[in-house]
This record gives sequence, C-alpha cells and structure tokens, in this order.
Amino acid sequence: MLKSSNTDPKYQGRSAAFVFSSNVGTNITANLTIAEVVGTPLVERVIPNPAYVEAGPCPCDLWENQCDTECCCDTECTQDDLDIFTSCIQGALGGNQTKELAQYCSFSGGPQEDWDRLLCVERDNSPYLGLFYDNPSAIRTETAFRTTYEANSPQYSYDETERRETVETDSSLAYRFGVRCKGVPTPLSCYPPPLSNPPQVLSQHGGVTTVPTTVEYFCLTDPSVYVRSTTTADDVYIFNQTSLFADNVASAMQRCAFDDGFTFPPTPSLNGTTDTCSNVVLDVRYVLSWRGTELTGVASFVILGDVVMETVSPDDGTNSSTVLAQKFGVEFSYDSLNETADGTEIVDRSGIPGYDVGKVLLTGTLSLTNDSVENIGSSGLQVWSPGADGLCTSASRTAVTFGEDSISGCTVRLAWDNFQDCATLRADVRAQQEALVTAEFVSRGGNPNSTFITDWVPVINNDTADPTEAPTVAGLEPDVVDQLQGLCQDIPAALNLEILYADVGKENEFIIQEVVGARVSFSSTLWRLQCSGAFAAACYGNSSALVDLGNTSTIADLISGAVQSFYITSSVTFTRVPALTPTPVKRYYANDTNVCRRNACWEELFYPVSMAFAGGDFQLYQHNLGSGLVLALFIIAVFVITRPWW
Amino acid sequence: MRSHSSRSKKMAVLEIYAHPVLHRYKTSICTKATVFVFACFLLTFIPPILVAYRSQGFWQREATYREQPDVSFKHQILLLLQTSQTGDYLVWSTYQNFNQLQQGRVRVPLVKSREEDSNRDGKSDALQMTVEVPLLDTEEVYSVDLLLFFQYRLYIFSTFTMECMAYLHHTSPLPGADLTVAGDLRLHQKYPLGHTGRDTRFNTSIIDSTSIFPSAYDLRTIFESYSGRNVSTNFLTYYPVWRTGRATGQPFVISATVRYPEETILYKPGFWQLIKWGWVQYISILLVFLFVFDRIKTFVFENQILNTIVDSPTKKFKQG
Repeated sequence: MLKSSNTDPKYQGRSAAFVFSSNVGTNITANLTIAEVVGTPLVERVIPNPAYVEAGPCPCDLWENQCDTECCCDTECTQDDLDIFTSCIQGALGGNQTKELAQYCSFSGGPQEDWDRLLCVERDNSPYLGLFYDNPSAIRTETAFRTTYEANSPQYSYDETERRETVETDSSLAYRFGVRCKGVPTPLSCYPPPLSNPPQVLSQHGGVTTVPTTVEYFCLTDPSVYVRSTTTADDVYIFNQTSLFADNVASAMQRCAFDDGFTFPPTPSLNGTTDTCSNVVLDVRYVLSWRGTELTGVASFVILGDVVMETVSPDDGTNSSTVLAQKFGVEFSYDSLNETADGTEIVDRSGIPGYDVGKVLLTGTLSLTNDSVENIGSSGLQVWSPGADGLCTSASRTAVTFGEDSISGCTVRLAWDNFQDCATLRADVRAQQEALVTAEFVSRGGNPNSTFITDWVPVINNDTADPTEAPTVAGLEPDVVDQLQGLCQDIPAALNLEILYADVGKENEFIIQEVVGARVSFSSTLWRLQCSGAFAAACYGNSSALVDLGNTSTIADLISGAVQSFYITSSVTFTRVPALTPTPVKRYYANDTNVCRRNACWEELFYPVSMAFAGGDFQLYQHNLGSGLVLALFIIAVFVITRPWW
Repeated sequence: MRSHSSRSKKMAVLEIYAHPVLHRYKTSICTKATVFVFACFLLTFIPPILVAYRSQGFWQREATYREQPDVSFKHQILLLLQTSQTGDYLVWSTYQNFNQLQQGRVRVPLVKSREEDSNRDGKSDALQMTVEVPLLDTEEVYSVDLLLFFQYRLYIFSTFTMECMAYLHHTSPLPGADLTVAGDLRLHQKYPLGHTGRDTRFNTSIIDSTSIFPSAYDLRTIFESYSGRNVSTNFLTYYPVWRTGRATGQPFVISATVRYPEETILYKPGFWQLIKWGWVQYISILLVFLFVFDRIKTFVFENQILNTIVDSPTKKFKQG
C-alpha cells in the first residue's frame, strides 16, 4: 500500500499499487544418478564416552566435513561462513546447553510452582553419576542380527503362533455342539444335486455309518417374495386408495410335477423372447434331524420358480434390473423316538422349569372335557409383525416372547365411506385384534403338563362383549355418536396384553421365573378424519358434499375417496410381582427404595464393617469384620494395660 | 564413692504420685498484664479461623456422593429415519397426535425392550431394545434419530425425579441394514442438587404429547428446551456399528443397549455438615495456637516480665 502522499512519480495519484517481479532463469535440475558419494558409508561414527566428553556439543552440525548453514558452533565453518550467516541457531540446537527448567534451583524467570522453590533440583553435570547408553554398532551380519534379536525379542509380535487346525482332532465318533457336519458325496446317489456340493449321504464323524437324505422340490408360481421389488412408498400410500385388512388366504406350496423322488430337476433356462428365467433355485432349506449325538437324517427342501427378468435400459436413468434374493437355511430338528408313538407334534420348550427370557410363551386352549389343555403352542398370544409397507394388508403375526415388552402395529387407510358404518368397522378391527389372542391359557413355566391345569394360568379377557353392538349410554340412542359424520368411536385399535411374572426360586444361581397372570384388554380409540391441514381432502371425499358447491365436479372427482391413515397397535407388558404376597409394613419403616438415605442410615452406622462396604462380597465382609474385631481388641488391650482412668 | 552413694539414693526414691501445682497470677483490670492476656486471647482464637479460611476450602460448598439411579424406560419412543438422500423420511412415535400428523410417513415398527437387573439389587442396570422397522425394497436408510424417554430417580440425598431422554443418532452415506449401539445414560448436572427434600423441578414431559402442532415434535424444539435443563441425561456411545447390505424384504433393525451406570452426583451440603467440617479444620489449627500461647503466657508470667500478683501455693507466705 502506498499512500497518496507518496512523492514517487510512478505512484502519483494512486491509492494502491502492487509490484511483482520475478526472475525466470534456466531450469537447473540435478542429475542425482551421477552424484558423487560423499563420506564413507561403512565407517561408523565413533562417539566418545559421554561421561567425559560432550556427546553432542553442536546438535545443528548435521553434515560431516561441511559447514551447516546458520550453525555457528559448527567447527567446519570458516570465518567467512560465519560472516554471511544472518543469525545463529539459538538454544540447545545451536550448542547452547543452558536450558533451565522450573525445577532447577538456578531457575530465574517465569512462574514456578510453590514446591519448586521448596524442593528445587540442584543440577550437577558431573560425569561421576553417569549411567550412559552404550554405542552399539550397526548390525551387518546375520549372526549379529540373531544375537541382538534374541537378546531383545519383543514380548508380542504379529507372528502366527497358534497352530492352524485343518483337521478335526476330536477322535470320538459322535457329533458335539458346534462341530461341522460332514457331507460325503457318493457315486451311488439316486438324488439329483440341487447345488454343486450338497450333503447327499451323511457320514457320521469317522465315516462309520451313513444316513440318507431326501430332497423335495417345490414349484412356486409367484416368486415375487424372492425378487427385489421396485414398489415405492408412493405406490403403496396412494391418496385415494383405502386399505384395511388382508383376506387371510394362505397359499400352500405345491410339489413340482416332476418331483417323484428320482427325476432330476430341469436345468434353469432363459427364454429370450419372454425374458423369463425358468426353474431358478429360490430357496434351499436343510432340516437335519438329530438324536443324542447322532444325525438321523437330512431333508432338503428346494423351492424353484420362474422369474421374469426386467429388461435393463440404462438410458432411461432408472435402475430396472431384476435383483433376485436366494435364501438358504439350515435347521436342526430333534428326532424323537416317541414322536410316531403318540402322534403329537413337538413343541419348543421355553426353559425348564421356568421361562427363559426371549423364549416364546406357551399357550393353549381348554379341551372339551375341561380337564386338560390342548392346542399347545406359541400361536395363542401374538403381536403384529408389520410387513414391508407397514399396511395391515401385508402384516403378519409373531409370537410373544417371555420378558420382552413389545409394541407393534400396522396402518389402515380409511376414506369417508368407511366411516359410514361404524359397527362394521369396529367389528372388523376387533376381529383382527382378537385373532391375536386366541389362547385361553398361558403356561406358568416352560415345561408344562397338559393334563395338570395347575401348570397353566388363564388369560383374563373381560372385554368380550359382542362387538357388533354399540355400547349403550343411558338416555341416548345407542349409536347417536356413530351417526355423526366422519368419526367412529370406541374402535378397539390398541390391544394390551399384560403378563405378570414372579421369581419363584433359584437354581444354580439362575432365577426361575414363572408367569402368574395374564390379561387382555382393548383400548378404545376415537377415529376421526382430520378436516384441517394437509389431509383435509378426506373430509370432502363424500362427493355429495361437493355437489352443492356447484360446478366443482372435476375437483370432487379428483379428491373423491381421499384417505387418511389410522393405526392399529398391539403391545405386551411384562410386570414383575412378588412371588408371595408381601407382609404389610408400617409406613415409617417402609424402605422401598432400598437405599441408605443421606448415607446416614442406622444400618450403616458402622460402615467399615457393614455388608454395604464389602459390596456384597461375603468373604470381604468377613475379612473386614475380623479386622474390625482385632482393632477393637487391640484398643481394649491398650486401655486395660495403660489404665488411664483407674 | 560419691557417685555410688547418689545412685543408691536414687534407686531408693520412687515417684509414687504426682499432681500439677496451680499458680495464679492476679492483677487489676487496667494493667499491661491484662492487656497482654486479652491480646493473647484474641491472637489465640482469631488467627486460626483466618488461617483456616484463607488457606481455601474452609466451607465445604459442594460435595459428591455416588448412587446408581433408579431408571425405568417409559416405553415412549420417537423414531425418525431418512430413507433417501433427497429428503424422504419415515417416522413413528408412541405419541398418537404426532402419528396422526404424519399420515403416510408413519411406519409402525416392531419394538421389543426389556430392562435387566443383572446384579439383582432391585434397580435396572440396562435396557435392551430392538426396533425392527419394515421397509420397502426401494427404501434405503441413511440416518436414524431415535428418542427414548426414561423416568430417572435418585434417593440418597434429595429425592430427585425427572423425565429424561436418550438420543440415539447415526448418519451414514451408505444405506444401512442395521444399527447396533451400546452406551451409557449419563447424568448431566449444571448445578449441584440439594442435600434434602423432594426435587421434581424437571419431572415434566419433554414432549408435549397433547399438542396437535408439528412444532411440538420438532427435534430442534425438543433439544432446545431439553438442553436448557439444569439436570438432564446424555446417551453416550462411542461405538455405533452401522452395517450395510439389507436383504430383500428385510426390516431395518436398531439394537440398542442403554446402561444405567452409577453416577457421581454433586450436591450442596447441609448446614450441620458445613459446620462440622469447618469445626474440624478450626480446632486442628486452634490446638497449635493454644499450645504456643500457653507457653508464651507461662514464660511471661513465670519470669514476671509483666508484673502480677503471684498466688502460688509454694510462695503463698512469701507474697503475703
């Protein structure tokens, strides 16, 4: 910046100027391949004993036999060099070893801690104290390397120290939990391989006995479950499409026509004209039956289907290729000897004798003879398991698991017309909700006996009024509220399942938990179309409401049947209750919080010898108590011997 | 010979009893001695309090104690997923008014939760929860915001109750299949708690669930008011695991472990605790001063540097 008062004629009348000059010389590049090696690479520097000679008198002296720039202590620098240095390197690097720490007694300058003055360090640079490092020479031979390495080998390294296990070393003939099953191909196989290396004949470990496998093929007409769908939320949540509940059509899979147990499945093939890939393997499930430590059989289930390939057109910018998701699964199934004898299906027991957390609740219904429980399984108490789009049409149900509070639900989309008949809507919702709780009994523990009714607790459901009848309010017509337009009251939209459980005992430090009560209730909700805001169009979905407005029939057509979302939920709550009814306590003594108030409660008056100090460790508590008693004994002994007061 | 006899004499004499002799020094009120004693009195009792106070930490202004809070999950949730990079999102909450506002954006998940009491002391130690959000194959999750609401109680000093919140958050440029987090619900105090009494200042709803306006459920509004609290909780997790590769038809799964650790809680000590610690410090310094000035006074009066009437049991007749 040059001020305008500058008298230089070059800058007259200018408030600012920028002068740039550059000197463009020839490009000088060093050819380092022909550079001369200065110094002798194999000669090591001999450092004199630092006890008597300063080892690094001039740390900035980096180059041997050369003067280092700005390094005034470098003895190779001539007086001419020193004259052209603009400044000398300061401090220890420049050879001035006079740094003073705050702890030194000779320290002067800068803040010091109080104790630095009191306990200052007197520094003496005498060599007589010194313990100095050796000056090891460079390792140039393998012998020297080995010697040095072995003397100083690290404690931890990236060496591979474990032996690699390629062979199962267990020599017993039985399977154990976690050991890989061995599939051995055999030339005698009658069964076509569904995959490149299937377990056709299963050898027990060691190859003593073999068990045959079965393969069943199923042909799926609609393989859409396995194809990545291109449906977007906008395709599902259409503003004028209502959606209520699914029609409960269970599609059973059919065995393939060719599958007679011997015929090979057809090879997957692509039809170029229809873009259909036929007989694609969609799903493979292996069910391994076991008993004891042996496998008793393997069943394979292969699902085939015809997949229509989308033509990939990269130009239109959308990803329209078909993505197929193949699924594979292995399941171990216990092969009971008694299964064929009594004909009953095996039910997964949920822990013995109580329930394990996360296992399904066992449910059942009362038999006709009223003396036993039948239909034992886990399907009697369920919660919603929403499908991919969250609508109730695609929702399925999942079993209630012990100890886990849960909430789930699904969405229904209702238009003005759905609110015309509240009784039907209410009955529909109630029927769907009650289908979740078909059980009359819940097992107390994980291993119930169906003939002992005491092993079961009833599911209390006081809410079983006929859903088609609207509740009667005294003095009013039964459905006066229902006659209001656009709303329906008393919809059982929320199902609440409350389960009480108790700790009934302890087995090997594991708490036994049993269900002691179960209740089903419905929370009634008022469903009302919102007639304000962004979704108010649903309120005018009744086209007759707009006819009066005159020539707006096009708008009426447009918004006719607009829908809003309503939610159906199911929730499960587990509540721990005392196993025995607790005895009543006076309020003054009640300490439900189980804490020591203000750390000054009477229980912890002698805190060092209390259980609270030991933190529940009984041995530590005993140790503390013993120490306390020894201390007390010692004090008493002192008083007895010294007799200060008598 | 002499030494021998003295030793035998010493051996013969036993001290069988001893008691101190009380010397009384008396003077009138307007004398140097009175002034001296009065000055000694002041110098004995005043400086210790100055020393104790000026050496810092005399009054115990705050103290700490440790307590595991009694936390219970209120089963209230607010969930927000970003399902595209262009602003599509899915929400769900246990607040029905909020769901009603969002309409087509709502996707009801399957939520499972349980609270564990692993050391069986009657207080929950951790919340295990999984949230399975069903998604269409075309929807990809890029970001998760999950608010969990808890009831938080402390008992030992002030009986403190509040509603508090855990905020789980993760964003990734990669579309996720599941998110697994484990962390601690830590207490965040701006001011010390009281040492007694019932404290329900913050036992108010974080979200106004009665509101039918979207602003009440806006995360900005919620966080703005929540961060202004004097006492709140933070969910601290340093190890979120975000996995990609969601398979066809699979839900997005959030697995969370929220631990309720024992907390060091700051509180203002009560009056008697304050007085007690002050007294302990004062008396320990006072003892030194008492000793020193006792010696000084003994020296001064024994040598009669200041003239007094000595009322001594051994010199009684001499003085009289």
